[in-house]
Amino acid sequence: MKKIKLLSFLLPLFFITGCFNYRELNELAITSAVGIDKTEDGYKTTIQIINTQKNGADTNSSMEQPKFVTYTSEDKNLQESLRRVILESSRRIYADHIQVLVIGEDLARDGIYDILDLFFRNSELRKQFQVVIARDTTAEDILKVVTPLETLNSKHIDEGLSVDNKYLGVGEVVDFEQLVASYLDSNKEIVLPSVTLKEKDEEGDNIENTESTEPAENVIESTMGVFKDDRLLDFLTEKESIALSFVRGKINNTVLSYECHDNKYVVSEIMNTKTDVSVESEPLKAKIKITGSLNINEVTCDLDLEDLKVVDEIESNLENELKNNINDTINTIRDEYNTDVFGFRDILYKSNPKYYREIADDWYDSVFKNMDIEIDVNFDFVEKGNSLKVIKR
Amino acid sequence: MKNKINCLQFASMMSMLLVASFLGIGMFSVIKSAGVDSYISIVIAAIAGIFIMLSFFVIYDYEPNLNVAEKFKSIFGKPLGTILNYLSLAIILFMGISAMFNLTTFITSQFLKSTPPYLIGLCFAFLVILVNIKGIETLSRTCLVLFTLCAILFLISIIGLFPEFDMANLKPCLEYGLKRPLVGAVYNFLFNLLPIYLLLVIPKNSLVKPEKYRKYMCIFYIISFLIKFVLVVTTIGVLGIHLASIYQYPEYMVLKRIKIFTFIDRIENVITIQWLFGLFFNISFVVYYITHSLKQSHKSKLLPVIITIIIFVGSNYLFKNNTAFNDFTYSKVPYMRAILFFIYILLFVGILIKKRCNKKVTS
Repeated sequence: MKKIKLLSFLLPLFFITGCFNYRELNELAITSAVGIDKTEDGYKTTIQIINTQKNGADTNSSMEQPKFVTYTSEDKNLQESLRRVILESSRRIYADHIQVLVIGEDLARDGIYDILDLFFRNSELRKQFQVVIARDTTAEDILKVVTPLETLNSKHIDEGLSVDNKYLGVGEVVDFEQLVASYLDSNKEIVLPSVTLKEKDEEGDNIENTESTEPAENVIESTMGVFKDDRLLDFLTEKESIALSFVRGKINNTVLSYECHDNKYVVSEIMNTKTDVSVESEPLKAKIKITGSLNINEVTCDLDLEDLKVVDEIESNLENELKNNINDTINTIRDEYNTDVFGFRDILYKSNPKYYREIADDWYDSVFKNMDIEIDVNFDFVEKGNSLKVIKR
Repeated sequence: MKNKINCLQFASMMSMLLVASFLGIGMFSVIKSAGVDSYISIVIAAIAGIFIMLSFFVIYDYEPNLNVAEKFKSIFGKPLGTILNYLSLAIILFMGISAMFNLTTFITSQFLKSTPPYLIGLCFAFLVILVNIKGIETLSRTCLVLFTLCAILFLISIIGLFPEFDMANLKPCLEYGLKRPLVGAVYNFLFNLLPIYLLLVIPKNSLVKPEKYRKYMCIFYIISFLIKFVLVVTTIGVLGIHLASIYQYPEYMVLKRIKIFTFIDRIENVITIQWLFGLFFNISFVVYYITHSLKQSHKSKLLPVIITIIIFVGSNYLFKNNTAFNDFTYSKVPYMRAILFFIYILLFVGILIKKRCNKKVTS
């Protein structure tokens, strides 16, 4: 009996030595980015696959191979379009760890609803990849560019957006899950960062693109795209994008300047910013309170930086600069696009749902356009670098 | 000390039963019915659960050498007691089938897409049989170890999710009044608090220092409540109600956001093991309950095998897919659970009446 027992425990060991239906890494085409463009009949998908071949390993050639390859295919829906890539690739497409999803501008203007479901439904796919719009170009063109510094184009976009968000604030990092959450919430509007091509005359889809000190073509971060429902309305300017990021509380560091004299500027780094937005009802009023600390980075005017009054003046000028910038941005977005990308509606709904229900139907007709906005900016001066004074003779 | 367990093990079994049943259908039903007010449902259910605890104490203290099946017969007589016992067993068997279905579906949908569910079920079924053949001592020790591991993993997940938490996601509070949280509380009560009664299968005299069991149970009841409360608050606070209500397993999806010290991330699959432990224990205890309610001889080894096979086969063939399971569980199962609750309440009332009669006779 003991032998039977022992055997019954040992026997399964021979059958459970490996995973069921396992997929070896060298049989997979590991996808780092997916691009989607609109075509007349459906979608054109571009997938960027990491080239895991060693340079010259198969060909006995010393020619350097690109670190990624792109495949494109078209079909009436996304899943079929993506699956058709198999016709070109010798390996199974493995898209579970993509870093970036690039949406073509035409598709974004037509509405992005149709592309959300596939990526959201896939249970193996992580939802924390970044989503960007290909501005003035197609997702295919963006993903084909061989970028300098980063071997993978997707890494370049991913890291670039994060760095921009951390130190400049023109682009907000929006991952796929946040995008779906914004779409699902009828009180929120979608905003997405964009990337575009900075190009000279030559094409940048070959390895030579990285052999020049100034690449022929490069993918650069552009400004924020604002949506209403699921459709892209337009792109903001850089200044507006920064102001929007301030109001949405998505900015940490940025650079702010004002003209202190003709073509002379005081430039400051704003750090550790915090935004607190509240919406009061009856009378309806949005209150935006921004705090942060500032370092003086560059002064080209003749200012006495040792005088406390001057420092206070710099502080208040920078505060006013940002206040005006935010005010202009809010007015532009209200007048030109009439979309509540600031999230005032959501804040009102969460703080006073009863009052919100009364005015919800008229939100875009009259309420949002006419609501009072109070902006309060308060920066604390921290330091002015190595120099106590302005450099002058 | 054979077949004896201590109060800590006993109480940890209660916690495992309460918390593990929250994965999948527990969370799904509360979020579906109460929305953003789900955490209020948990609080209401926990308060209502005090009644379950009190009734449990009364039933448990009655005839300490008898298990629940024997108590049914002792209170209601053999024919009626047997009927009530079998009725409760049928519902509890379904609880086991649900837990097994939940377990296999969760694993196949999230990790092993190409693996047939029955293979996963089979692996767990072997373990369930083994732990049941070994008896209550093994079961309770396993449970205490698993509970400790689960508690540590839970703490890690909460610490990792803290930076992602947004208080605004929990607003507005009680937008539509108390009706929706109350419905959510009823679901929570029936799905996640009723399993306390399963512990009645362990006779009180099987406990070491039985006089302390109430204290331990109360402490672990509060711990279970806190775990469920924090879980709901964290899930909704991190994902927001819209994502939380659209995901099949929001409590698992939220773990994907864990980032500790900016370099420990993508640990959701490690953290998730707490749910697998919990569901495994749930199935094991259901098998134990049914085995010991059907047969008084504790040496029976065939019965746990048969019951596990029924649960295994049932989980594979009873539901066509997860949608059918969710629909059935959300719309029909509460009634089944309500019947189970009613049966235990009958037992509770029966014991109270019998005690009163006995008092009158002695006085």
